[in-house]
Amino acid sequence: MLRFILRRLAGSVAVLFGLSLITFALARLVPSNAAAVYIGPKARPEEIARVAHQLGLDQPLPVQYFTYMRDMLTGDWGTSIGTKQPVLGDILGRLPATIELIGAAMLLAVPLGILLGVLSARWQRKAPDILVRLISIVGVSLPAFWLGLLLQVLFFRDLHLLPLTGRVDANLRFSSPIAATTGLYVVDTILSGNWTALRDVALHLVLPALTLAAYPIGLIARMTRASMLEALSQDYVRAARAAGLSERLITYKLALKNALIPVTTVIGLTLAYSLTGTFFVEVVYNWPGLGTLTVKGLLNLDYPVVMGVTLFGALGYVVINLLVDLAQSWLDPRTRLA
Amino acid sequence: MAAEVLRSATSVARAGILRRFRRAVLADPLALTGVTIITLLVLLAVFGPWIAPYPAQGQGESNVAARMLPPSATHLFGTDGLGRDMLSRVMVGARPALAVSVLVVLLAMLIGVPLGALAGYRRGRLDALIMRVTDLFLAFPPLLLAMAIVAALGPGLDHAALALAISWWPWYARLARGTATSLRERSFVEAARSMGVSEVQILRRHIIPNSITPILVQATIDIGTVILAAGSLAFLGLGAAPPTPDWGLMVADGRTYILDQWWPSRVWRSSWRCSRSTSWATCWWTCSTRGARGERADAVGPRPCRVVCHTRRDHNRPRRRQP
Repeated sequence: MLRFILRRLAGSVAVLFGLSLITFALARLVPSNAAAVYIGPKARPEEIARVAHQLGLDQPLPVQYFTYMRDMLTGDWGTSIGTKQPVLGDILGRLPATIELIGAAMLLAVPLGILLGVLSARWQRKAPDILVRLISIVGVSLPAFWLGLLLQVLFFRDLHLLPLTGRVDANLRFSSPIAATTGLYVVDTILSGNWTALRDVALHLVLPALTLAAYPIGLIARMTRASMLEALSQDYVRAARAAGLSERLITYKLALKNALIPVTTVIGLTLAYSLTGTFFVEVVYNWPGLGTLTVKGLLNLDYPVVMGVTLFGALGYVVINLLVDLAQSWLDPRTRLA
Repeated sequence: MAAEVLRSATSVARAGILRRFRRAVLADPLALTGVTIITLLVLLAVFGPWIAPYPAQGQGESNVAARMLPPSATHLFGTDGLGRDMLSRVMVGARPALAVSVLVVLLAMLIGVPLGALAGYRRGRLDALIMRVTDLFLAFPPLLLAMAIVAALGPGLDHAALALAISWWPWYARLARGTATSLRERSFVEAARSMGVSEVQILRRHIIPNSITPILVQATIDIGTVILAAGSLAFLGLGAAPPTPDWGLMVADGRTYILDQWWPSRVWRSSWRCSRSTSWATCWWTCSTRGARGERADAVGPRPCRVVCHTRRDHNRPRRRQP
């Protein structure tokens, strides 16, 4: 097991090294004149030369890559062209909002998706199955940004139930401010016993989390259904049936346990997918997370921010995949051989 | 004589495929829906500009006198902020949407298939190298690499298409490699090798043509996904620029007014249906036709098919035998 973990870790480090090569190439080679982009459209040639020297763009490429890596590893991820703030600080400042959103969505999607999948497999080709398959096709098909708009129209404009955008009501800052300790507002408000704020924060979280969860719910339900059907057709299930065990015991205790192994992979995949899925949700709901930061950076051609988030997102993706692999090998020892 | 026999044989085979296809589609309501939607989408892409009620408005001509009209008999989908008929915009928008996604998939295949086939045929160091490179590209969360590339190149439909192709090719490389590794051991490839046929010729004449089926299946599935991806990029402002009748752009545009006038964003309802169901539909009918041909459906390979094949298999699964 230890050898397996070490080998996977080494592989991940190699991938990260390659990722840094790609983002470096994108940041330094693709823009025809990075320094000119950095200053803006009205730059004079001598200014461009000065900034190019400052940024080290007049150095040979390997030297540039070396300094780039050194800066990355020491936490200097460059300065945003738009805000003139350090990129890594911006990213870390926005991270809790995104983590809260993704976390809420996954807490919604995993139990619900598994439940739907099990129901669907148990009543195969009956009404619940057809309904679940419809839900999962719709969930997987709807683009998040369109679903988000639809939910806004329904729950804000028509039903007046939930807030439209943002993470917290602006007035709350004066009436009952949130004491930021973790940056996850739900956790913060519970820790400080700030119940009015908790209610507001939770209400703000419902729609974005639901929008982001739609795709994972569909995918997890589909995968659970498929692997449940597979498990239910195995000999040990038939043996259990022959021994007279109750159908409920067979479904939930015997089959589900084995069926969940491939589902963990899908959960990891959807979690990783949520890293970019959240971008669209955040834009629709004006959620102050990584997504809105990136999109603003993209539109303002603020490429240090974009490259920072790209590398950060890829880092998260690699880490999630690593964790999924480890979880899988812990659950299913057969996969360790691979 | 021989040619005649051959011709009649192929025509019989072709009629067989058509008949099997028809039977498979008719037997399966979901596949039927899918095929209908694909046909509609393709027809729209071809004839959209001619059958749209207001073709000029579809192309972007504004008509400020008729701003923000709700859906009615004259404007079935209503009009947008510049008074353009939404139905026409959607119809005219089908062509660029389909064209861009076909272009992206073709480009991705053009990069991925030769590289993958070469890797699978050569094995060894080159294989390891190419596969590690695909690993790198796949290590980015979906769409994030495309966004970064667009950011470096600057926004625009052409750059978005290029960026999508660059982040898409590794899938094709993997697929091509998989089949190429098994093909290289087959005796006809060995025969060609022993006769001194050059490597390029073997790849071009034997490996790639014989591994193209699963790749084409994946490509048809991807066309739907790419429509969605390109729409997503446009929604963020990274793809097509106004006044292109782009579906993603239309949703972004409708977002400005959605709380007062809901109909502009409704366009997406039609477009998502087309895009995603397209993938589902193709997936379904390829699976069904393959299943009918008696091939192992798993051999089709790509991921969504696996899931579908599970559901298909349970249709065919024999009922539990009574003792």
